[in-house]
Amino acid sequence: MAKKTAYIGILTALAVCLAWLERLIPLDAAVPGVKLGLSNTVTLITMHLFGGGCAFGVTAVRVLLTGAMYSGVSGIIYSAAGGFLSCAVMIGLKQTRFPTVIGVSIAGGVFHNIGQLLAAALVVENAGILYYLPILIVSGAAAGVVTGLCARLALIAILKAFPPQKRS
Amino acid sequence: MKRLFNKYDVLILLISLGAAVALSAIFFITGRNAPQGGYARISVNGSVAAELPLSEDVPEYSIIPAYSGVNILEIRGGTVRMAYAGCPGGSCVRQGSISRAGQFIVCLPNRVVVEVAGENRDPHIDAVTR
Repeated sequence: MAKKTAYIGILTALAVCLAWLERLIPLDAAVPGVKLGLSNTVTLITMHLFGGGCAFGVTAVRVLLTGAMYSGVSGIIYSAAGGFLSCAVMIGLKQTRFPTVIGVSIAGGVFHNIGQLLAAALVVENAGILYYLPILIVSGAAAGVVTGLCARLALIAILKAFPPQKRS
Repeated sequence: MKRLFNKYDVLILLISLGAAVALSAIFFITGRNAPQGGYARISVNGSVAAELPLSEDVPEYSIIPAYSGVNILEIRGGTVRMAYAGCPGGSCVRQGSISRAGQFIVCLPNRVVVEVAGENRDPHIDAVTR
């Protein structure tokens, strides 16, 4: 139990670090919300190692911390909406056991952006910004491929170094 | 962890891209014949703050949304653009100039939306404050 708590703490810290790292990559897009979402790799890894509940917890803490550090209260609304919707969709898809990490990650990326855009439409009370939906779906899917590949590579390495019996 | 991806992954990707293509087709068809807009409607936090006619050039129109600094609009030659934004991202500035009815510029951190609308129908909102 204590070991699990420690691992989840490490994963949460990693998620925050990746959010910081991502800010160093200038991804200049005219559409707000286009980003890589590197933190999603941590959500995927947590989900596979410790289950959906822990993945939700890591996402919640990461959203609060990065929001407090970088984007402020208004930013927390968008990232929470995106983070939780994406997490819920990914947990549901993983339960079905059909897609691999990559497929789960693509759906997560797409729904992260859908959640964020819906929150934005509610905040500015203007449905017109749903106009960004197509480009955000494509960018979410592309980001999902990248983060899914990262998570896959990381998981293969983690499972090799720490087989399940050594972890608990 | 054996195979890199399977058919369900491909299905998820295709559904996503299909949805994006379908939505853009709908938006393209509905917005194709949009006329040049008559005025810019500026909303802050969901309520209309001002409506400016595009026929009059305004070099600097400041919007003070009380979130993170000001936004400055510029109206020139029937188009409107965000010339400056006090928010950290500045993606509204990169959204460029708009002039057709239905187009808009969004500044999410400041909750500012600038929309181009057809004609100025509401006689009550036509004051320009500079």
